[in-house]
Amino acid sequence: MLIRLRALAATLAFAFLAAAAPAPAAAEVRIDITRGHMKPLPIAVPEFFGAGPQEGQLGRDIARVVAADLERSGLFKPIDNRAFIQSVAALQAGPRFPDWKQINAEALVQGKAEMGPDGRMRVEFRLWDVFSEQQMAGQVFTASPAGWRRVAHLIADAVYKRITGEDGYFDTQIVYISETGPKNDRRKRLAIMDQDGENHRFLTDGADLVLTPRFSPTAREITYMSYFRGTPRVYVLNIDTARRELLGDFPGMTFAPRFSPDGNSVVMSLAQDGNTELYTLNLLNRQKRRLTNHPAIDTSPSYSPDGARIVFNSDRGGAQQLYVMDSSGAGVQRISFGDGRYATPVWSPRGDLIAFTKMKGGEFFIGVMRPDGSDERLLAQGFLVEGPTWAPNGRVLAFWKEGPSDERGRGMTAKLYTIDLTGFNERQVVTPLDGSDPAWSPLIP
Amino acid sequence: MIGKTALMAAGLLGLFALPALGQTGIDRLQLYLSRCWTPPSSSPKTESIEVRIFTDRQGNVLDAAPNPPPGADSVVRALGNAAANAVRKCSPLPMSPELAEQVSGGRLVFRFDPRPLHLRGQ
Repeated sequence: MLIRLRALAATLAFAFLAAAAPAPAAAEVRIDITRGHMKPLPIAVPEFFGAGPQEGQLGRDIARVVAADLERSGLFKPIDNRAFIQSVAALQAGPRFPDWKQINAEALVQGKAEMGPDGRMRVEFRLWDVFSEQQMAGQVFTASPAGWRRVAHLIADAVYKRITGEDGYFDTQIVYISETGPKNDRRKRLAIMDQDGENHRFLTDGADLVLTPRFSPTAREITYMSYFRGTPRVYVLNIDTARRELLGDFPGMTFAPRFSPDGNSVVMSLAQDGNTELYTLNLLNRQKRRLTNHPAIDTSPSYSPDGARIVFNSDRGGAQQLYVMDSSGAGVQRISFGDGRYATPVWSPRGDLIAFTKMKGGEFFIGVMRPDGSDERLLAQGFLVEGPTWAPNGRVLAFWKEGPSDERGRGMTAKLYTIDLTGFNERQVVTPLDGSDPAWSPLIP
Repeated sequence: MIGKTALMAAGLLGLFALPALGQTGIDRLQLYLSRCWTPPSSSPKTESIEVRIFTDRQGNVLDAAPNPPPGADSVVRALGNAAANAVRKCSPLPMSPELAEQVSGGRLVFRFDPRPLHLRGQ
């Protein structure tokens, strides 16, 4: 101990002298570092400690889901548990940082699961910075044991937020169109699942064709288009009660609905007498309001997060392009000017970007641009890629890919994917059947 | 510690293809630190972050302090944390005698700038 103290004193004295000594003119050297590793951060997520069999199982399950969430983001690389030197039990007394440095872990997630006398579980976690040997975050959750998966997502969100600075997106759901059957007779059902594909369930029985589901800001309602009784109309479905309601008494076909950010209205397209215009329906007083008035097809509206503007696509310029207008319908301005056609624009929850589908030269692309149309980047491409939707942190997109189901080009298949804004982390979201038209929920309240 | 020793040994053996001796000490330091730096986010942010460090003449990092601007958001603070960790991870830094002399006691400021990092579709 004495030796360590002396070494520390010497170190401090040196640092002090170095800092306090009169500095020559060139004493401070400034160096720019502009090349880093675009590689995932090595992170250790040992199973959470549990004293009994039930706690032990919960601890293993929670750690597995936390690690899987972080790995799927593309920003983290969970280290194989078999490489760990310090045991889970020993970790309870505190991390032995040299053990974690030795296996190249840069961050460590330590946790513990306990069952209370009331039958509820108590889960705590600590995030450690292995290099500075400091605790970066820590939190305690109390929940029913059945909610262990959600607790795991919340912990993954907290780790993601602390290390990247960005909000997490793991405690979310995705609603989408589940598809099965031949191309000319597809059975389409609304389905919902956690963002990692778990807790999957169907919301409709497939008797009626359904399309374009979109979450409300509370994530408890979904608006979508259904061919119920053969007429395409926009509906709202309450996820908890399964109660379905027709939206508005419109004379024609309504489609492409989307909630306003405050949840008080829905914007949608109305096709009537050969013309398609954008309308809003106020959900509080049921009054409708026409936003566009043009002989072209105006559709796929999406609000900016502050509700002040709407982006939509229209062929009013001769080809399908993206336009932005005030939410009152005034001040329409075209924002896309690149080669090809643009469709399905979606405003980022952060407001900084608009995602879209682009068709050019027989190929489809998923891209992003700024709301003024500048800085277009194409992130994904394929025979048919379509329908981007934003994760609530505005840094990851989900979309779907369609293509032949075999190498001879026969049949068809549709699968869901995610990609982050770097464009380098594309992942399939596994669904029981084919999937299309995903919509990502806000963070679950 | 073993990882650090292995890193140094690999560098000495040329496994990391350190720059030729003809390059300046600053070039060597830039390349060396780039290998330790993992920007923490997929975010195409435009901010950079400075890290002030103190070293001894052997390049051992005695302190690494990120210097986020006042009011910096959580993304910039996370960038600072990752940059400081890059310096700690890279310790000891390959300080040439000339560079050690130049910084006169080892005062260095690294500015970590994620902007030039590649994004698909740019």
